Amino acid sequence: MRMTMDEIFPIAGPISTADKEAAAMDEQGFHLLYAATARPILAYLVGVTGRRDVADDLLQETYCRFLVRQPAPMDENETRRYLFRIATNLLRDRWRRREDEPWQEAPEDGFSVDIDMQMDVRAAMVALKPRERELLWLAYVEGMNHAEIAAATGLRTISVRMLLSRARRKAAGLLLPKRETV
Amino acid sequence: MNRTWCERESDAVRSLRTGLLSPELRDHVLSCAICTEARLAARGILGTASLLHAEHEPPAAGLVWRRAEARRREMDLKRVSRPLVFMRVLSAVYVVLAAAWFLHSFWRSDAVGFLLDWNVLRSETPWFTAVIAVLAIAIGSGYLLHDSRRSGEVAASTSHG
Repeated sequence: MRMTMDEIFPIAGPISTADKEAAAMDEQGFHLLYAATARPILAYLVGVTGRRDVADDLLQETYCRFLVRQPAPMDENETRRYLFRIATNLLRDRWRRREDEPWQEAPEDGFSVDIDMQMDVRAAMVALKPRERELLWLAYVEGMNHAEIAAATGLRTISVRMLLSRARRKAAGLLLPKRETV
Repeated sequence: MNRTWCERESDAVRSLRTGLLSPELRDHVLSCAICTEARLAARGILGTASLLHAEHEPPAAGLVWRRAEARRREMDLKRVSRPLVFMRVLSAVYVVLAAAWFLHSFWRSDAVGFLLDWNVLRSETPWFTAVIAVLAIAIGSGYLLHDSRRSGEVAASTSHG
């Protein structure tokens, strides 16, 4: 039996401990949630860390924390944002432990539509700092506004605006010499 | 003062995803350095995102579910055993205090000389009983503390395995 999205993501509201236990996600609900959200989060983690092995670990840890915490029921979009926030916190923990390695993710040849652009983008990704990759990803891939990025990263909105501006300028500068602007 | 953001930036980036760039927005992008930069940066990031999205298959959901279940069991075990650990620590503290009190009382009395007498082992002196009791409690507490630490390590290694 297929579950509806309302069943996977019940409407948010105040919730008691008993309700929380009753609303705890079952395995089938988790599989649906995972199918809907795991791929973009994995792409985000690979994009920021540049390492598939690290991204796999962080992805599993993200969902483990989500399931163990059993947050109050929320809608699909909020759940997705919440998962991104957990993943972002895990990335920050890694940086605090100084475990970030150089970006080394290389796209497979089968997907190379524009080799020149891929090379430019790869060089830009390597040159950007992890925090800059993270902000650009959340803003441009996930379409988060400054307040949402602030909530996900733990930064202040004004800081997000400044840091994103610098990251955008740096990324554009790295891509500008060879690419057309509009 | 340099601007750090533009209110049309999100529209300019969204147009990359949708492929819809209205003439009005196009004119704006051409005249706005921030939106031009944003589109350039976003194009690169979005290209990378679509490649990574297509290339990388997430681990199986069942694997993640089982790992979370193991984590949940470990946390439940820790929560349930927390009062027991507290009682064990309390009993160890009690033993140390009792032993200190006993030694203090023992030293102040004339029992040292009395103990040197061989007959003490054959008598049913309360001192001798107390020593045995304190030793038994100390050994028991020591074993319980060691056991709780070991079981905690086993639970942690099982859940991470």
